[in-house]
Amino acid sequence: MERDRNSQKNSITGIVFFAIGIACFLLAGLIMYIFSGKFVNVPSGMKAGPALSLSSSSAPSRETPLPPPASHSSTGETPSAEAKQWVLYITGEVVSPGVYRLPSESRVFQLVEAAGGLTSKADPVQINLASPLEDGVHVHVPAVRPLFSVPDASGEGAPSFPSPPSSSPGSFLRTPSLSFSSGRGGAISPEASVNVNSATATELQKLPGIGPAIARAILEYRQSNGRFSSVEELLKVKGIGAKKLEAIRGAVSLR
Amino acid sequence: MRMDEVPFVAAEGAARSPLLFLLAGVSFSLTAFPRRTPFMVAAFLAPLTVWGLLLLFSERRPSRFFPYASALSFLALLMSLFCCYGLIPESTSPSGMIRDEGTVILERPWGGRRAVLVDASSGRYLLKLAPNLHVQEGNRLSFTGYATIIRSRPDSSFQEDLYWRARGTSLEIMPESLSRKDGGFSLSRWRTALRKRILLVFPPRVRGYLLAALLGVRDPDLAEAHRRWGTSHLLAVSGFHVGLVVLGAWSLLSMRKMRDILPRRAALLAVSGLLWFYTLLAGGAPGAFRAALMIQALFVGKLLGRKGSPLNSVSLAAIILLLWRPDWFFDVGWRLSVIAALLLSALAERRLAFWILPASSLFVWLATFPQISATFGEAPIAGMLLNLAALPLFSVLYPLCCILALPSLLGIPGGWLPAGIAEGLFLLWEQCADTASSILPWNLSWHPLFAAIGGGIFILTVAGGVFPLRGRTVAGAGIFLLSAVLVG
Repeated sequence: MERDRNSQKNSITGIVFFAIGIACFLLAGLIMYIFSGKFVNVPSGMKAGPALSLSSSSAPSRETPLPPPASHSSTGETPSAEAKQWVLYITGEVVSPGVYRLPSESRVFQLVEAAGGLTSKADPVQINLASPLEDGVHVHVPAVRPLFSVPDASGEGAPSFPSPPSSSPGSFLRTPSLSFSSGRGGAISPEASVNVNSATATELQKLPGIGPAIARAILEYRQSNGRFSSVEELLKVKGIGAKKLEAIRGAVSLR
Repeated sequence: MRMDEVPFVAAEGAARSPLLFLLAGVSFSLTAFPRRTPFMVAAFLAPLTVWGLLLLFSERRPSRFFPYASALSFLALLMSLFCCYGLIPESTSPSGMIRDEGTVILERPWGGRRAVLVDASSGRYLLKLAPNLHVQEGNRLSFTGYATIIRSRPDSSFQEDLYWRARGTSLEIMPESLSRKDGGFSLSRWRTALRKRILLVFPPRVRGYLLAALLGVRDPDLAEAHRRWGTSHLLAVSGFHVGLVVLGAWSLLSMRKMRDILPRRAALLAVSGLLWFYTLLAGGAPGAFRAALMIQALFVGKLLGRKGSPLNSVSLAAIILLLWRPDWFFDVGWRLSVIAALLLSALAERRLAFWILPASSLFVWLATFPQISATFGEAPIAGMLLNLAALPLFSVLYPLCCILALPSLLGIPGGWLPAGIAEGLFLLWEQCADTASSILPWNLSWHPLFAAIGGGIFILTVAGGVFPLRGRTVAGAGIFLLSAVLVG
């Protein structure tokens, strides 16, 4: 009798503990449901990498109110890069579009990083992440869209193929003095551009700054690695750096 | 005897394999982290999981149960805090030009390019270089370029950022200038020298299998064939390979003549040394490290005269790796290795009959299906059949191939003959595998139902390794599976 009672008591306790066990998991699920997405520091992604012992590395800070456009830096100015910050505006297919402060001499990828990175709709081919920035610049990251489509009247979201001249950091950049939609002359039609995936050495030498050696390097690269999948891939060719790429960007096509 | 006075039975639950519960708790909290749960909150899921599992599964709750469970959950909390904190990204973005020099510690194909991992003075960086640059492991590489954070492509299921973070870097250098020179004495240079020798001397199949087993390098053609057969794990250095090396060395040192020369403790130390040398020579993959740590734990237990639990050893190895580098939790190699090892250990805990053991490969296939299909999109069904034969066959073929390849490797005249025999054996295997895969040419794509079945088999088998298979265990496994599905 006593044994039966104990056995019954034990089975009830077992069921109670089983129920508490379920409650633990329910609580865990509830906590996760409530707190998911609350941690906003994740997107920067920089973790396992080392702390960089390099120049200006102050963390970018998001500006809530839009400050007045800062004046362009001129070559005659001498303040140190560490002391100076640029105010930059980014729109389009980034996680958090807005105005950011970044160290001077920053590049586009740093601004994109500060804005939380590209969204899944962004077209990474149409932006040059290595392009240098300027104070007060507006960067627009376009969404993926068919190449050579006709830009709308406002020029909003226009593809980058009709590039501004090489003096501009990149076709997707909008400086206070340069409206992208204006086209500002010098736009190269896709038909007139040199196709780096099919051009001969002679055709490649028509590009600014490309001599016989670099043309040969492009052909060698194409032979060993296949077609160029993006214009940025030209950076992998020996002899083509960021500056040279910017110089030829508007004059090359991939198909 | 009253049930609540039943003494704490050493052969059950947390007393049998306490670290398994810790591993489950830490894993649960790490699963929550990518969902952008604050790290403190994610860490608190670990003790909840430990308590939940103990209360769900434990039918016996002696007087020491609650202090023991509390201690375990507290430990799980500390470990989860440590791991989750380690996953927090630093807030600084890479800035400016990086100019540094370092040793190439990894070089592997990456699409049409070669991915190169450089250990430099300011940190570890990834570079993707053209193959014609001929950068090899062990080289000293000076580079100048901009650093960018590695990101996954939105249109790909492969998470490149996690892959490289698990290998110690999250930064890729866009090089503007590079210079290469031969490095000093290092394991990487040994690897390169051995790789060159294997590439130059052996016929294709022997070459591919030796590269895979000794250096963790995959021959693309061989990798494609094994992917088709569903036996890719044979090419990835894991517990299977490490176990073969240790078993071979231990068998050799346990021979009567050797035992007279070398005492047992010295033999254990020698095998331990070989174990770590092989693990590092083979590239230090997560699966190899996990196996090495597990075997080392068993050796230490043996030296101390303690009887080891396979499940506890696997859990210990997995936890150590997570504490060292929490990013490994997101590495598919680490996951597959831990899942397979836990499952096999659980079967070993039950000391199942010999005839059931071949079925373990079927269990492993099913248990790893959710991960494999989620990562690679599909899993070949032929793998279920082929693995029944492949594992025992390769446990003979790999050592035999190493022995037959030795004369050629050492440059002994006529060494091509035994190497040719090994090539013939691999060719025979290839024919059989192709025939078998033509009988079952289908691939199973990821499906929630199949994934749930695979997960259920895994959880139930592991639970059955530490608890008797009763109604409570089955119900507990079902609830844990449901939680895992909802969280994952």
